[in-house]
Amino acid sequence: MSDHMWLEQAAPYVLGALDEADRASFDAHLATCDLCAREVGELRQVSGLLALASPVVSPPRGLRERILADARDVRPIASHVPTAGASEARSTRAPLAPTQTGRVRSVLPWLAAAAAVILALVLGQRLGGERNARLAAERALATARATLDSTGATLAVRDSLIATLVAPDVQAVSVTGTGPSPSARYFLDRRRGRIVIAASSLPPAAPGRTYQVWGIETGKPPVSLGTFDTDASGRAIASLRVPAGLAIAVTAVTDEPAGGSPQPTTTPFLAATW
Amino acid sequence: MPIHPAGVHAPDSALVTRAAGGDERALGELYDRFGGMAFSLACAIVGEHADAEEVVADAFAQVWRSAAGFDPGRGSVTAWIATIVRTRALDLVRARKRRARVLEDAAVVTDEGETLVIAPTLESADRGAELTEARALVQRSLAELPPPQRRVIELAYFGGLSQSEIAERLSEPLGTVKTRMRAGMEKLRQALRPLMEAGA
Repeated sequence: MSDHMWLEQAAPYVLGALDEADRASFDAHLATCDLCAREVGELRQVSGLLALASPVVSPPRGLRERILADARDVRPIASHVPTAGASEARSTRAPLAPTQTGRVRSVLPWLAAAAAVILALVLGQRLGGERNARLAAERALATARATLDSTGATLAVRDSLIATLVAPDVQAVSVTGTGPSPSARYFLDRRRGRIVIAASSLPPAAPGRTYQVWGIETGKPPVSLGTFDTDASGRAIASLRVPAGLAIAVTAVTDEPAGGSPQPTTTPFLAATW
Repeated sequence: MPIHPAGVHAPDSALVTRAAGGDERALGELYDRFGGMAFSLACAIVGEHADAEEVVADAFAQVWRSAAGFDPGRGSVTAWIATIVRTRALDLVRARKRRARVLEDAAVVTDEGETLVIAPTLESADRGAELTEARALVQRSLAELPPPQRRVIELAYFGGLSQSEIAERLSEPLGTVKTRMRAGMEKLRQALRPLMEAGA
């Protein structure tokens, strides 16, 4: 696909109207293409302004107070204040952590469950060293190639995925569940805010369900990184954006209703510590 | 004509920076600037005011938590907050499977292009004037699009439908939907350029 053709994806992308496979491909492409990133940046302003097309409705009087009261319930834990124009890499910590459950639903039980699962899991070996990382990348690329072939994606998609997988400062972790269950490899590029998950032996989610990937910063609620589904052969590769400022300590997957959930609703699996 | 001329008000991005440092007054000021837009958008997507209130409260909680991650280089504060509100609102709609009803009820501009009644807003008076002007331009630009182009953009933005779902709903070929969406967004980009932040 030429860059010109990629640019055509920018408008539906900012409107959230790309189908899942196209969105994942374009996400991967965006990580490596300044031209498309600029186009998306500009069109995001257009889609952002569409909000003003909504018929004006005055918010209820108490809403401002409620928002400020909620804000008081979360305690700043990092005094780091980014300067104007700070890059994502410099603002590596979100400033606040919840001190009460309240509106942040069911966070502590889930974290406890995640910790238990992590302890119970046979964690795949933590891969270290350039050679091992390269071997892991090559294995993941085999998965990527097979998956992409089956969805008819283009060589350019592979190239941009490869760029993410073999970037010099990418961290890689392999995880395997107990028994003959699914396995996954995660590739985390903290600097560019991107994570690639390559899953295998994972049956496609049931109808109306999907798999959702979570990033957890120590002491904070899980943050959704996106959703994916596997093909009939049980494989998937997804390139997901990591929200700026999220210092991921644990990643995990849950089975969620289609479209994903604001917070996990089922027991996490394929948990990896970073 | 930038929406938020520097020197008249603190720039939006400066408020976000202060919020990232834990300044509650900055969050309050962000709400004063964008709360009306946020609530109107949430109502357009979720329909019911009580749901919209939850969406906006959640969205501003996210603004507060993730303020440190806001990158002015990637877009305006307006676009950032609108994206958060819209994502939360569409999540709620999907979760409750009320998509069909929302699409019927929350169409923002009718196919006949009727003008909308602009109600008073809660923004402070001086900010309100700027936002009303911006709002008028956005609504006029959208209304001036050929109706088929406007329709696909509205179904995507306010209905959360993908291109394939729009094609199915309108019984149009997917390629036609894609072409209309691109063409419509391109026209909006030209029409709304005065509102877009320089250099972004």
